[in-house]
Amino acid sequence: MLFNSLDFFLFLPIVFFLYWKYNNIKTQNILILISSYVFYGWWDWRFLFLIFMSTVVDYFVALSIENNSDSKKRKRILYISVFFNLALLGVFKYFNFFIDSWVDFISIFGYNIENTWSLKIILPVGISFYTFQTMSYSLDVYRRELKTTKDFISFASFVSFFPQLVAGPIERASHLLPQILNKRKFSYIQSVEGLRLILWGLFKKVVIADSLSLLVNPIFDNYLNLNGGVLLLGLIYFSFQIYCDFSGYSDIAIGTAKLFGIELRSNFIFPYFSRDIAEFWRRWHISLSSWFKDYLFIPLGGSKKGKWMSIRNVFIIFIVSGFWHGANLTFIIWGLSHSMLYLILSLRNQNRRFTTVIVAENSLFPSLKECYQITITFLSVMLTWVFFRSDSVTEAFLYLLRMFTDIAFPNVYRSGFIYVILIVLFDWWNRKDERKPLNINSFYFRWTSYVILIILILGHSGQKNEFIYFQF
Amino acid sequence: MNLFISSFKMKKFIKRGIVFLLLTLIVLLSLGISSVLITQQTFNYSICEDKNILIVGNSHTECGINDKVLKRSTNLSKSASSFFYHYIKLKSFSSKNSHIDTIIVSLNYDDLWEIREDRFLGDERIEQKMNQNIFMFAIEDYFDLLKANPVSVILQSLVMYSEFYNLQIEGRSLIGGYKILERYKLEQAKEIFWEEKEEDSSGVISQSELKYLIRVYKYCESHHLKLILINTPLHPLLEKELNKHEKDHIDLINKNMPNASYLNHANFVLPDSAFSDLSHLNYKGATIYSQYLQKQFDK
Repeated sequence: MLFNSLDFFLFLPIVFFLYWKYNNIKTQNILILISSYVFYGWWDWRFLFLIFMSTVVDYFVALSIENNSDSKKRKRILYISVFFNLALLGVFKYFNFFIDSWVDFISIFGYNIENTWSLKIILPVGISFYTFQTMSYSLDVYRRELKTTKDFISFASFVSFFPQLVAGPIERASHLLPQILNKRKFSYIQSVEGLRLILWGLFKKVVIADSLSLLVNPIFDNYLNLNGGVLLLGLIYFSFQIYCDFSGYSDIAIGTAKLFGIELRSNFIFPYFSRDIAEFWRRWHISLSSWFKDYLFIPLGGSKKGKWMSIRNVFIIFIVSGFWHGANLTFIIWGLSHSMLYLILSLRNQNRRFTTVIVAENSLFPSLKECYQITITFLSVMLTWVFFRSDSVTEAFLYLLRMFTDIAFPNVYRSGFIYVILIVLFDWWNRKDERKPLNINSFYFRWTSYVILIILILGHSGQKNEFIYFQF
Repeated sequence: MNLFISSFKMKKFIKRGIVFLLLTLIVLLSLGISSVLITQQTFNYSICEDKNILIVGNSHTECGINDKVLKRSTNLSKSASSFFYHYIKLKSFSSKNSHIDTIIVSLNYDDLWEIREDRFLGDERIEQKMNQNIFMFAIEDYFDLLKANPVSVILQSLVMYSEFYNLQIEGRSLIGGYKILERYKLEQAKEIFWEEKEEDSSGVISQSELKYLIRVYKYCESHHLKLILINTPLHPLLEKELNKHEKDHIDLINKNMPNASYLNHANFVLPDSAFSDLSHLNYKGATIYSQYLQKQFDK
């Protein structure tokens, strides 16, 4: 079920009213579980068994880990969870990539073999998200950072909680599970904030991202026939398309969870206002980058085992992050390019300059220096998006080559710039709290804004594009 | 109902939610109605005095008749259109252009089949077409469509304003016109043809499509307009399959529209290079075919 579909807007109020009507934890958790499975099964019920299997495996793995004091045994049990979840990803997401890569590799040595092993596998929506979520539960229990729950229904509700099931934010058990295990109280303010986030997320997705996609697609499809200026526009548009698409989804997810009295973690905090690439990664897809930091970068030694180990770890984390996005060399190059941008800062010990405060927190405009930093960071990130969007590495390089060699004023597709300006202005206005968009004091002005947003959303609702991150 | 409804906060939430929804509904409907009224007033219906032929139809005439070649014509065809929309366009344009005396309507063998009925009442089609054409609707047209698919029509009625901007910018080209087809999908279409042949050759007539075709006919009769039903060229592969229905097709026309002319050009000889797929002409095909029509009209 898509957040931007009529089905969802019939489904949500029904679940909401039932949920608060039966105001006890057990019933509410059963309802979360059933509605989450309905939500997922709406897309393809055949893949529900994967979520169920992942839930069962991690439920029992975590219990066994907790019941064992022998550290070797605990580790061995943990491997069951890690191997099982990675195997799910391996089969459903990466199998064909490995087979195709192997065939290509062999052909370098002159062995041209017919590839008959590639399978017609459908990528189950959200598999990269819920496998990471369940794995984090077992990992936290293994590290003795979390107590297990014996309540299977609550645990299954945590794994499949529908607002964030298919595209995150990837929640940690330590954050979400206690909320599911404890009594929730209806809060008027929380619910209104939730509705505002849903509205804002829909605006970003339906009005901005989907409109930009109408320009991005023809530009990337015909890049060989367009001038460099148009290609630059295409990249700018894609940068904002993917941001609005994914952060819009996250806003809707966080807003929907709020309606059920549950707080999810922020996933995007105005990443395009970052002053360097390290800050960008603290603001972009936060739930994934922090997952990799906690469960990969730090266990590998982080930056505390010398310079070379630190460089190696940065490379690993970014390449794995790229590979997480998809079984294609383009994503690996995308990750690699970010690792290099990050290393430039990290090697000069400048990767922790901007850790908490948003740019121009106490002023209306950023300083000239900040403008320069934001622009450079944005341009660097933008250039890497070409690998993310292109179908192959060759196409990505050809796109960049043409963009830099055929420099000209864009002669077509300029209309999308209005959407870019719109989202930059709105984000700048909201920048102090990403969880409180449309927080306007005047009642009349606030309601007028809601109605205008609804008019724009419905007016743009004909396209019904899937969210980009569904494919990951 | 337990503490759920009696909860003050929940009551307030529901109350405010309902008020907000009603307010939004009023604004959406007002905006929609005003945008329809403005479009009705500002839309350019006028057709040059030297063009006396109006073409309405689906993708067959949209891609098959180039109105720059068939000089006395204006093509307002649009792909996947139902006879309902042909009728709407015919009424709107002919009533405002008294020099129009001939109407060409595309009628291929399968256009009246039940499998094409979704062009009229399918959710997707209503979503695509209703608001592009609603400014030409009479009240009874709206209710006809509403009866056919209430849910979709009600939903689309909430966003009647959605095509306002496009209609102001693109004007008439949004509701129809000759479309140059450059794509070459003939070989692909041939392959698919063999797979889908069985499903597509049912031949059951859709009563709703027939109803609007008859309305087109009656409108032409009452306004003294010459109606030409045209079966545009098909690729021989498809023509051979569909011409089994030729007799039924002609009987149906003779029975329901005795005074209409019927031009059956389904077996019009054209090379493969003139087809974009099995049922659509490409630019080359449209040029040859339109030149032929021009000659016929000149006679």
